[in-house]
Amino acid sequence: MERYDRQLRLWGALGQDSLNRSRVCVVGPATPLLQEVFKNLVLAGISSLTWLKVECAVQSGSLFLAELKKDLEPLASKQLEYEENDLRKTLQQPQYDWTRFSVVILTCIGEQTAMLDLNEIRRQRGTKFPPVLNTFVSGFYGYIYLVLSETHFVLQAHPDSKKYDLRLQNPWPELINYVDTFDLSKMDIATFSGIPYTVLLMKCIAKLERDGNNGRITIDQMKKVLDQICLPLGNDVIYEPNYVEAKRYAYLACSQNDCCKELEDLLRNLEISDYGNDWHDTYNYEILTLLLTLKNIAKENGELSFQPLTGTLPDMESTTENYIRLKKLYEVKAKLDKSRVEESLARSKKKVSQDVLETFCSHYGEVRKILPPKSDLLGIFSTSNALLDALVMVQFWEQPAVTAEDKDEFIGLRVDDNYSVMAFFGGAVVQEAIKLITHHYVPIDNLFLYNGINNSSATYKI
Amino acid sequence: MPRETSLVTIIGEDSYKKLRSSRCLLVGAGGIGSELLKDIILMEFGEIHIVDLDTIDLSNLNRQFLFRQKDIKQPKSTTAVKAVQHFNNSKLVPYQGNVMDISTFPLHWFEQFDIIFNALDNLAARRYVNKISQFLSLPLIESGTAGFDGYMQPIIPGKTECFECTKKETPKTFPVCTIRSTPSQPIHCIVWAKNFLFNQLFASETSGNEDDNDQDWGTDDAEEIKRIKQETNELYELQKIIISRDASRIPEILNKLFIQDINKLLAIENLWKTRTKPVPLSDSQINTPTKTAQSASNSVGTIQEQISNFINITQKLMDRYPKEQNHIEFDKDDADTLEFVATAANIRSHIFNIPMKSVFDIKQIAGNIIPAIATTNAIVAGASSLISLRVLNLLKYAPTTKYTDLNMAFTAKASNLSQNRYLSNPKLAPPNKNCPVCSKVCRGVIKLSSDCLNKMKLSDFVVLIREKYSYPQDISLLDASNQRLLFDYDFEDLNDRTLSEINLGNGSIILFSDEEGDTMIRKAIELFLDVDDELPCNTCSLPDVEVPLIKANNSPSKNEEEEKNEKGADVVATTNSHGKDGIVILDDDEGEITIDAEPINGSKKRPVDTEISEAPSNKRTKLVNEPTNSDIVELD
Ligand SMILES: [Zn+2]
Repeated sequence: MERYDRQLRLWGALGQDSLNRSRVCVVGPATPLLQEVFKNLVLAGISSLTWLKVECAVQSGSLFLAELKKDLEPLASKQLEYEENDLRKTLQQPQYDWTRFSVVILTCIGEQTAMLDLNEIRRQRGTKFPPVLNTFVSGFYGYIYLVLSETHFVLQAHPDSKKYDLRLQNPWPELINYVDTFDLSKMDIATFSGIPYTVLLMKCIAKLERDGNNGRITIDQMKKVLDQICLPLGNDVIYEPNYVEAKRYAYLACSQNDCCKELEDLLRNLEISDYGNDWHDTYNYEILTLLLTLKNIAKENGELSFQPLTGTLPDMESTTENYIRLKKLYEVKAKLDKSRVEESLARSKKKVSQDVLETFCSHYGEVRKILPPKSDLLGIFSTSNALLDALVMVQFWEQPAVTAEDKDEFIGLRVDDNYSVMAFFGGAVVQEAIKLITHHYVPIDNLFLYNGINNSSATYKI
Repeated sequence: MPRETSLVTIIGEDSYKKLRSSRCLLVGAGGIGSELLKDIILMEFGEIHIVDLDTIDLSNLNRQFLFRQKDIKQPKSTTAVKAVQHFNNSKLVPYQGNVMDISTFPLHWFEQFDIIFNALDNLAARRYVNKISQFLSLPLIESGTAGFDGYMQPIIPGKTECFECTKKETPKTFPVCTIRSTPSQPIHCIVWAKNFLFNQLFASETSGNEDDNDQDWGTDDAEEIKRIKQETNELYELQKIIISRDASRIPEILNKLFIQDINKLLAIENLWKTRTKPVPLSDSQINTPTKTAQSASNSVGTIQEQISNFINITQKLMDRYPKEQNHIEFDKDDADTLEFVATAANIRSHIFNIPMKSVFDIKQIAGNIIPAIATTNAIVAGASSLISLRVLNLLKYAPTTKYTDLNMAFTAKASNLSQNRYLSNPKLAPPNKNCPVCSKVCRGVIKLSSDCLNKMKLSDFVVLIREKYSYPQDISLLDASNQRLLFDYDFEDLNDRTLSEINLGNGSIILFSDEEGDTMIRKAIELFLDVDDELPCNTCSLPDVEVPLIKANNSPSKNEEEEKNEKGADVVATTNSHGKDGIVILDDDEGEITIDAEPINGSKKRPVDTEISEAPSNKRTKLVNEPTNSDIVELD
């Protein structure tokens, strides 16, 4: 029985494995936020935790960090490596190995010089620097700011509505043959009811094409044609579950397949030559390699684009035999497409881990990219956002623990730390770290602001 | 240990004093619960009472920071309290028990609290606490998470929506001890088969060669170490059978899982006081080979077929195991793994007297279980504890003038950029006029001494209520917990019985309705019987509740729709409280294209509501009449 069993469903074995190998660096003074971040990272199952300490004059009350560290100690030799260093000293070591970290989390850094120094180190290392999550909380407010040094690729975005890769508009020859084995004109309703609805939809599309329709198909057109080809079997056909499904999913025939454009979008703005082999994160390199491979395959075959079939078929009303035959077709084609990717990789002498290759091929449509911001860690200093501005003022220039003033634009901003808001941010920033480490789900791009008085929040790009 | 605190500066002296003298109840010490406990301790509530039924399980440890390896099998509530001692400045009172157990937690027990935090993992208890909060007008902060999704909703009775006002896509998780020891629904067995058994046999790392002396047990208790070792070894033994590829040893697996382990559970007598005992398989069932039954995926088959299917599929997976580098992942689209989970779940269901499910159903369910994760729990707990300051109106610079100005919070899965938000914060809505729990009827608590329960006749009781709230002669009285008619104009058989003789007791909820009014009727009232032995003899004190006159159902009215629903309310209330136990069934990765799909666990509330409310009211009486009579006969 594994402790992390339950998490697997969210980010898969590959994601959990990345977490279990990850090394996270947390920078900042001993605050409730820091201890919340520690706790959440350890619970997520990271392998190494480094704390770059900032001495802090004002000691916050609600600390159980000492106990927390005691709990971490027995883990130190086993699952968890733990080390502490002084931030100031670390910043003065030109040889300090920052690249080993998967993510760097800055919590409540109050000194501008530390921020400037770290930003300079980051700049010097080019792309070979881990993503930085800078977070600060004051009173009932806070922000998280993500600064990437290299393009971050999301392997699986897990969108709320997932589309199946059915290829209704552009079936491959074996699928066309399969569809042709069903002749609706020579069939009774009983036989009809055993046909998968995707077959009905493909028949409609084929008919529309025969009738000279070349543009984008509308739902109304689809429904009309569906009736044209089905009703001759008898009016009762409308009660058949596969007919009902065909009608319900008719819109699947209408969405244009824009995979070519998607791929172009994913590859745009990547100054690949600049990166060379200097990728900080192997997954980013591997996903980019796979994207380029798809492009190559298309070019070699003189096609506009190449997209590996994901190979999964949704459940649908059908006879078991028809369904299994159809499912096999999708599986065989998916395997074939995957092997084309593998062959192309081999030809260009590139290596990608098998797990990434598998996930990529079966979830190609879920790949996303996030470009590094135009600004850097100092982006927070030149912003037109009033709340961020106010927070940055408190963070770097004002004395802490000013009591609340009614006239304040942001009520409850300049009050003492509130543990609940710290707990909220500890959860949120580690959530983002997990997304970055696992390459599952889309992280914040790139500034998140929160108002704990009314639970409002917003994401901005700076 | 005195600690310097900064909360005074945040909320001011007066509010701080108020906070230090408040008492709160935390229901649940699991994932969100342990986060919440820490947050509200650090918020410095004066007194915190924690109720949790569960003991700690290994799979809790990655989400519940208060618990360590040495705490496994200990009650969550007491362990949590022990774990926070070192940073605690509040009085903590733990209880191991079921919050719905009226004998341990009678209604008057809840009255001591100023606010309730729900950190529950099942729907039935959520509904129950919601109801309690309505009866006592206690503010409730409701919360839940599933994966990256979570929500927090403050409920202020009479002022804002209650938990049942709208149908929500409530993320729910399952209690671990239910999965491991006391399943009561098919889903519990499916989760056991998939997340526990399957992973243990086919997807976990072999850990046999680990050096025991080098192991971090997290405890020095030799007994405890022995027990953990034993558990680990037993499971390792099962995995060894898989590795051996010796199909003749499969009955050993059956014997361990479905006879030995069940007998061990039976030995823990406490578990079976209020539950049906499981019945282990018999040796003959395991060892009698039957012909392979290839049942269709949409039928269930007999237990004997399940057993032989289990043996066959285990053999098949055994053969696959070494070919797949000793690691097979459960995948609902991998027919073998699905079949294994389905048969194992069904055998377990059979043992626990739970209906078995077809492979097709199990596929739907097994594919949609979403686990809770620590980070979302932390986010939701943070938001919950924070809002309590505003619910209790302790923030002077952000005073709560209207409760509907407060916000709830929903976290969005992947910080969806297109929507440009990370969490949404709709303002609280006022109560839904048609909500059967908070709005359809008036509500109050009758305080009774137990001698009064044994002495008072139903007829006297009816008169008492009728006079107190000015009801007309023609009324009806229902036992709302089971829709049993106790009294109406042509049913007076029970009049001479005492309240206890007609099975009313502590925790009973009765519904008193006007059946006479033509155009205007007195609104119905739901009364909770709170029996308290501390009360002086002959106490039967009715609550001071204003029960207004409202337009009757049959009068011509613009609000006909509303009125119609009114009649159905009582019936609906029970329909709901019999609701299914909460399990996460979100339409996640099947989630496909179906915008119009019914959530699997979708509430059938509305259809039932309409159906019943359309029936004429005398039909309703009849409907409840029959079971009532038979109930009463048994009493004699
Ligand atoms: Zn309500």
